[in-house]
Amino acid sequence: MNDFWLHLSDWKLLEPLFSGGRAVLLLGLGFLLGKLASRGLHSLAEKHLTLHHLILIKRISFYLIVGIFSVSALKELGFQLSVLLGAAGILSVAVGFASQTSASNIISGLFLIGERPFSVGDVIKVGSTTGEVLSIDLLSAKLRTPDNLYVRIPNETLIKSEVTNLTRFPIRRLDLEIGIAYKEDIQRVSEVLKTVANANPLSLEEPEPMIVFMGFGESAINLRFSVWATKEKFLELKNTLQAEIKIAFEAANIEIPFPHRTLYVGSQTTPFPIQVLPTEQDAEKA
Amino acid sequence: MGALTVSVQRQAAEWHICQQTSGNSIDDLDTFEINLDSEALAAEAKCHRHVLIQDSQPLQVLPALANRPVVTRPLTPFNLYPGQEVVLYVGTTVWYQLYAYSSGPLLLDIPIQRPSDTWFGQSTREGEVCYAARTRAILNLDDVPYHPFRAITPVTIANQSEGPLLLERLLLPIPHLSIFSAADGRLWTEALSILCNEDMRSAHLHLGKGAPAVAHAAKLLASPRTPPERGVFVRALGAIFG
Repeated sequence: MNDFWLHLSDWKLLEPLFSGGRAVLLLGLGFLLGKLASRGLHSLAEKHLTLHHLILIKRISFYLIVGIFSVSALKELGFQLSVLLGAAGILSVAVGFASQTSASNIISGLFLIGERPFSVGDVIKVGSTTGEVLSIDLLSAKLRTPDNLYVRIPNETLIKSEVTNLTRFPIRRLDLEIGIAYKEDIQRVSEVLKTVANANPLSLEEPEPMIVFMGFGESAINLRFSVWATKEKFLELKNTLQAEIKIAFEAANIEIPFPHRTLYVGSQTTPFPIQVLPTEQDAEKA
Repeated sequence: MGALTVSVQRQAAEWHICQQTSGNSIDDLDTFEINLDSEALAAEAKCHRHVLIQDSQPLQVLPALANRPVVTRPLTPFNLYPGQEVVLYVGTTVWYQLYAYSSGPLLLDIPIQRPSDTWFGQSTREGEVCYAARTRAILNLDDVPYHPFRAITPVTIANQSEGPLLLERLLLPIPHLSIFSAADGRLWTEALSILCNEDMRSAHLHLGKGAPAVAHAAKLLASPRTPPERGVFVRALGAIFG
């Protein structure tokens, strides 16, 4: 009989161990189910949603399932949920004060998701950084720059500063600043420029290329030549068109001037005295 | 073919295909020449190798139409008055397709003369990228010049509305059309007819079946790139005439 009571007390000792095991099992199960659910949802919704939304759904489903299983694991360990939540309330005030930046980033991230100024895969420009958006996360967005660098931009910065989305619309305008010499006929230059744009298949016929007279510069007449291209061919057009303009200008004898400095001393003054000095070779010969 | 030179070489277990585009002189666009034993193309030619074990089946060369819609603009815009009907003959550049053998893998698909890109849409935000084709909008069949690398599409436009229709540009659903070859060597596509509805807002676009009557029993050379689901489309007027 004594043995029986001894066994029973052993069982009582073992119980916390069992509940701990169950909690670990629940956590593991939650993690597994979360992974499975997020993957399943991803493949289900792949055709209907954008990459941005897919990543969002994947994350939310994973964290939700893991969260629910974690709570039941805690309950299994004997924690009381209401007490836990109350403690979390007090804790969150303390943590909130301590981590203002992170909280602001999280809130900014939510606004970014709601406003959708860009999505995953777009090319954006923030400050001096241009890159393709890899992901928009809780605290920051990640970009890949054209020189293959990984840039992390806090969501707060994205909300506060000017963001340019370079790939939102299917076509883009390329603006070239061109200076021509004062002696050139602007009409003829316009014709040469339009011929160059027409001959390049990447420059869109409509909207038509446009030439704007920008003003009389210090050493050149400044023109702006605006040509449209599809966003995919933008860089290729930028490269080919400028080279073609240079070739066409050379063929048509149109001068692209360097900065000129003309020194005028006026009619009232005597001309600059000019003296030709002998070179070293002349000196040796002498 | 015109400004485009293609060289195809059979080497052990592979096809070696090179292409090169020379100066864009309009004069030599209609010339073509086939050399069975020609020299290799210059170093700047774009080359591609296709590894393919193949018995003695011959290569197949086919013409194809553009892979995007074509926006055609008459050199001078014209008005079409109520109750009038007109047939325009619009020529578009043909693509050169090279198959390893009949219904085999496609080795090459390039335009004989690269048309310029253009944008067709209400604004710069919405619309589609198309190819541009300038046309003289010839109304008389006898005046249509012969170009070996252009396919002619007869487009009938009928104005049933109460106001005049200004024709500045016209969107042709070229990828939905097939190519036919006539006895005189000309290439044709199915005829298109556009009926401008009374309300001046929408138009019926009808795709003809088979070679157009003017092509005199031309035979089918190539099927459309994307087969049309229906023969008649109703579109907004702006979606056809810009």
